[in-house]
Amino acid sequence: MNTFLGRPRLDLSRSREVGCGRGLLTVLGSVLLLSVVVPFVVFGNAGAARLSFRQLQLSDSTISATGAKYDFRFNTNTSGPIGSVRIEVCANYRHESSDPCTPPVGFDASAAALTAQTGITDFALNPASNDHLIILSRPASVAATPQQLTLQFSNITNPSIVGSNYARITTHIATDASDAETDDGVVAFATNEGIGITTEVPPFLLFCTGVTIDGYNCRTSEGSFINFGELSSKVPRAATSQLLASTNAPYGYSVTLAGSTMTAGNNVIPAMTGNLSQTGISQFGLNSRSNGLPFIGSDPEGPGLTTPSAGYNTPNLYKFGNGDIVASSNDVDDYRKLTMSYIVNVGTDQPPGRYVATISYICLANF
Amino acid sequence: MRRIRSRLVTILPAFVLLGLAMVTPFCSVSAASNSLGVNPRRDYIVKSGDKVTDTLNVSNLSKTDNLVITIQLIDFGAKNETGAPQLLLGQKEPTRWSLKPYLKVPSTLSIPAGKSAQVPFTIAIPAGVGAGSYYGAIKYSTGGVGASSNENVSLTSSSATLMFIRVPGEANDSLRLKSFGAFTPDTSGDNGTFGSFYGGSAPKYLAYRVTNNGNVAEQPTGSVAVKNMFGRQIKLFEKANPGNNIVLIDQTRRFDLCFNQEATTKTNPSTGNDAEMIKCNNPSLAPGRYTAQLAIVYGDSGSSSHELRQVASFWYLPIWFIAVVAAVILLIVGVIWLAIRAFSGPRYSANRRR
Repeated sequence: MNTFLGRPRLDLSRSREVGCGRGLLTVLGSVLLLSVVVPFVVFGNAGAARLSFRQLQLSDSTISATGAKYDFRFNTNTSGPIGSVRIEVCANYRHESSDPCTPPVGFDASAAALTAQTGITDFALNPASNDHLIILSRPASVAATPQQLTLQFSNITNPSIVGSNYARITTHIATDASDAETDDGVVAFATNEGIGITTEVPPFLLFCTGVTIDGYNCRTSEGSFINFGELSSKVPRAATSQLLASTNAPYGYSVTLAGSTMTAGNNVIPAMTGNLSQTGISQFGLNSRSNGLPFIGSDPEGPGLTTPSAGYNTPNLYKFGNGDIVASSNDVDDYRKLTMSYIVNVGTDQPPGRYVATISYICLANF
Repeated sequence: MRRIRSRLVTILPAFVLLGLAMVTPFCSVSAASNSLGVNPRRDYIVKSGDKVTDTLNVSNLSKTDNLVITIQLIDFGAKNETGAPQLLLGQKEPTRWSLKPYLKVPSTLSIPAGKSAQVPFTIAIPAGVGAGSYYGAIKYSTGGVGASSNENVSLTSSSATLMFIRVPGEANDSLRLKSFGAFTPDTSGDNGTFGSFYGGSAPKYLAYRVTNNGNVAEQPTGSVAVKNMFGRQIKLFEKANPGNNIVLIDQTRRFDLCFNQEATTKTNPSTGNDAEMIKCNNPSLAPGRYTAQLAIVYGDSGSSSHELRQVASFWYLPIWFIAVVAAVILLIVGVIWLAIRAFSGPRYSANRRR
């Protein structure tokens, strides 16, 4: 009995010891496991009150323009005291207020003057303002309901580089904008090269088509007609033409196929949809690769990077789709020559006639 | 006198027929140039009530054949979610961004072989026309001759100048963000898939899609910051629209941002021109969870400025890494189990002995 009575006590005490050790180990293990797993799961994000409407109008958006007027208009969003407004102009977008600001090259607001204000009308320029930072302070921080503020500044020099810049507007309780912002928002503004024409893409998009083009020179383009000979239900008829394009437009170009499949009056040879040439089946299609079935065509050549589009870029698979883009580039591109291979098959039931088609290749700059 | 007249009446048609017979074969053998060079794009700001007159340059690149072009003003839209334009050739009704009512160009032009010509045009925006974007394509078509009796297919080539006009003022700027995240384009580059888990290779691109519901062709600007799971910024795309591309009215456009872009310059030995080759390499991402913060701003001077923000995340957990983590977890569990056994071992053996 003693033994019996003693064992549970002994066991209990031991079990407490063991339990304590197990607990420690469990905690240790959990910490180790969590240290492996937690970093993959936990992540937090922060939010901020936004200025619900923001607008910036420049009197002159030409690069390096002096004496420009910057007219800011925005709606505050938070009810409460407003002591100051801070406007910082940066060339980079800042995701967090702690992100560094890169002042736009040439931009200068150090001589800016506050010429008009509506909404809250007792703002004055704070001496802490500098070439890319404008701080407006009030005599005292006074509570205000959400409202629209307009602030017009004169005598600002525009950035000297074409492109977009950002003005980050924040409102503060402190009169010197030294505290955290209550509302914030960003406006973007662009500067350009001149009045009237904002952009003139360097002016060339060169394009030619022909049955043959020697080298990469549109001057050598020859031929505007393709002859398949007599169409046959036993042998596919094939022919080629070539197109050459080049541009210095920064967005590249696209070549669109326009036209219709071969017809003779009301009789039509069906357009292919990306399939193999099959003798005895009426079909008409093209691609821009070197093919083995039948042996026709060649792969794109030239120093350019234009690539044939899907549907026209697989050997031995042919397609004809009015309005399809057959080739495109998305950047400035040197000469690129594409050999377009056409095949036509007719079935035995294809009504006789003179089958013709007009195919137009349209080369357009991308945007 | 009457005799002479009657003879003339008889002879004149004969001369005319002879003349035609001499001219017609010449016309049929004379080839037309299919080679042209044009201004690819023009952008103008024209105030309501103002007029702009300018010229476009068109070159005949053929050294032997004259170029006869037909000039048309065609509306265009977006072909897809990239920047390829689609001419709305069959469309009779003008689009709401159509430039047709405001632009005047000649309908034909003839350019001798190897020469260039100026195409004059006028853009007149009547007073009262609302602020916004108006655009269209001035299309130059060559040839257009049907296949002759021996030919099956007639080839023609066309090119165009894309004209973008911005009428300044308070317009309806409205972009809607449709998707944002890690992206894998398909082989054509026109489409692709957004993903949130990558077990094989890390995603090469981030992409976002925006739809333009306003009446201004927008050129968004902004930035994308990517942080790892410890909150450290590992990549900052300073330009969320690196190509300064535009989103046409009613278009949904995708913008791709490559994590590890490599630009190499290749010189064409025959022309001496440099071609820049841009390649998107595999990013050197460590396994883990990544969060990308997108912020884009749009709306130009005189219009309200709008900002779109979105956060997206994705996991990059390659198979080898999952295997290593699983092995580590197994190791930890094993160590704990062995430790527990070591702690509890003597008691059980003592109990057993008793």
